[in-house]
Amino acid sequence: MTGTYAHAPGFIVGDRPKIVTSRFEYEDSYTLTRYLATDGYQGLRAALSRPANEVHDEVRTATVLGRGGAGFPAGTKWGLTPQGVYPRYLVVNGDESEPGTYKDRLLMERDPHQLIEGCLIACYAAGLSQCFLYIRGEMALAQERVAVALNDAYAAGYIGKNILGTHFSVDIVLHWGAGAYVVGEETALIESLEGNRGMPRLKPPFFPAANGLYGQPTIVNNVETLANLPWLMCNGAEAYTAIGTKTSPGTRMVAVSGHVKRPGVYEIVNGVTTFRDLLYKEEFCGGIRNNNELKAFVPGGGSAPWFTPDQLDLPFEGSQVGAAGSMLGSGAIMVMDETTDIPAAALTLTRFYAH
Amino acid sequence: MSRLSEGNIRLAKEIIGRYPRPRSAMIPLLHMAQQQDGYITNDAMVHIGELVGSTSAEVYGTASFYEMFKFEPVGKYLVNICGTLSCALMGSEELMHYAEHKLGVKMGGTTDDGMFTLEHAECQAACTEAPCLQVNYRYRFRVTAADFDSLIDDLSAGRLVDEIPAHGTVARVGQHIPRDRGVGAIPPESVTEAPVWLDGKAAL
Repeated sequence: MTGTYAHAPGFIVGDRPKIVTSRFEYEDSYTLTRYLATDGYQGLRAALSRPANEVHDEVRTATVLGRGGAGFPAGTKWGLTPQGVYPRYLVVNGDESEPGTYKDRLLMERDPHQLIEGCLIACYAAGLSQCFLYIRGEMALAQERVAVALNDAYAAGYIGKNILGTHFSVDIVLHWGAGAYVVGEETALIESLEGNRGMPRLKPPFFPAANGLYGQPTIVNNVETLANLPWLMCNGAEAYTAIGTKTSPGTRMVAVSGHVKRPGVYEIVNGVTTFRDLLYKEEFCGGIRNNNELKAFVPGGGSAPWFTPDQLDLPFEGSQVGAAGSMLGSGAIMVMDETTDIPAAALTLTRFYAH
Repeated sequence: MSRLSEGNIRLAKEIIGRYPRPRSAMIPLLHMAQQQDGYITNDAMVHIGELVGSTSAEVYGTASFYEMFKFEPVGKYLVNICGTLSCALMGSEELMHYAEHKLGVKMGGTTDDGMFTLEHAECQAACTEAPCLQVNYRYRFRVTAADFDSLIDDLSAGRLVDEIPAHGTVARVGQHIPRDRGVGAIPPESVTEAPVWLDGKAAL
């Protein structure tokens, strides 16, 4: 598939590969017009031009790691549904609420069609009959942008009955929450989607791939994970795995907050970019504020054990960060300089989890 | 006035129809009730129960789990100031004290004129823009004391009504699935076979 689409979204923009944030530079990045002008829905066309099982194989070969926290490969996850049991559902986890994390909100606000296209590719590949897109309750703008994008995509024939004139038909239903951190956990998300209190279920027996929404096989994928699929379908697994490393291919979005000069959300190369690159390089955060000393940083969301400057040269690679005693989690880096009262900082996080 | 209005009943039925099980519409319908009345009334919960086939106690059981649902009136503008780590590192505690002083209420309180309710919030997913707050779930980033002053002044003077709807309205645009385009809900019991596109052939 490589090279089929000369203008496939953002193979390399500037000096860094951008897979999911290539349209963020446009003011109107969230509109269908802009999306179509930048090869939008070409990944869906590429997918529908092949049998579903081949599309699934392509995702498996690319080793698209889940971006929600656990880092489990999406292609493998799709394969865990029991043979011959239907219907199967797709639930999109847009309930981003892990402290420090906010990439999914930006992906929903600024490129909702990319997410929608990713959902369609997943439903086609894994034989999922209906999709529920669950957005965190407090994210008003994301809900509005996704609602408009869904309405436009339905009107244009990209969602619903006989998509692009084929026998592939699927609805995407916009659903939203009402405030509860724990709902980001996938079985709690399903409880909430069934109209219940959003408490996690016991695993086992409730592994969603086998026993999820309404007791049916259910794939729960994170927003960023699905947003990778249009690019992957346009460019192929070989191009995808050429970025990053064998165990951590592609890119990932990270949000850096706290005491750096330029806090922000950056798309970095998986397995290659180090924490030092991210915190100090000019193209990223540009160093610690006031040129202070770094005291500690949280490498992967509020639940992750903290790192000290000794660990700055670790790359964004799950097993290496794991061996060093923490996790990459949801891609949130919180930076604390020498002025920070560490026990007080730890207390704010503890209060969050008690909440 | 707290059962759902005629217009909302029509919309509620459309929403219920998207789900394989009506009960899945419960949270969207609770938001609808809150949008209608500013908070969730007992009558609205009874009505929602009738629409989705649950008792009002079950509706309350679900609703009471979620922080966004209020069971008594709150201010027209709900001001949520984030206090989680990234915001705490950037001065959210000072901002909270300032807000309490400015509005003359403690966290959780509502001003006497019914305009503002102040709340301590957890992570709002805007951590690089700390400290942040939301007014009726609309963001304000890197908020200083001066920013807070002008925000409250603008809201009081009605200058932000186009941008920030009164409490209860979250998204101002909803999904609409055209009748001729939608597949319809896929209830589990109505399906036994694989989707037609899993036939080993390319769809296009």
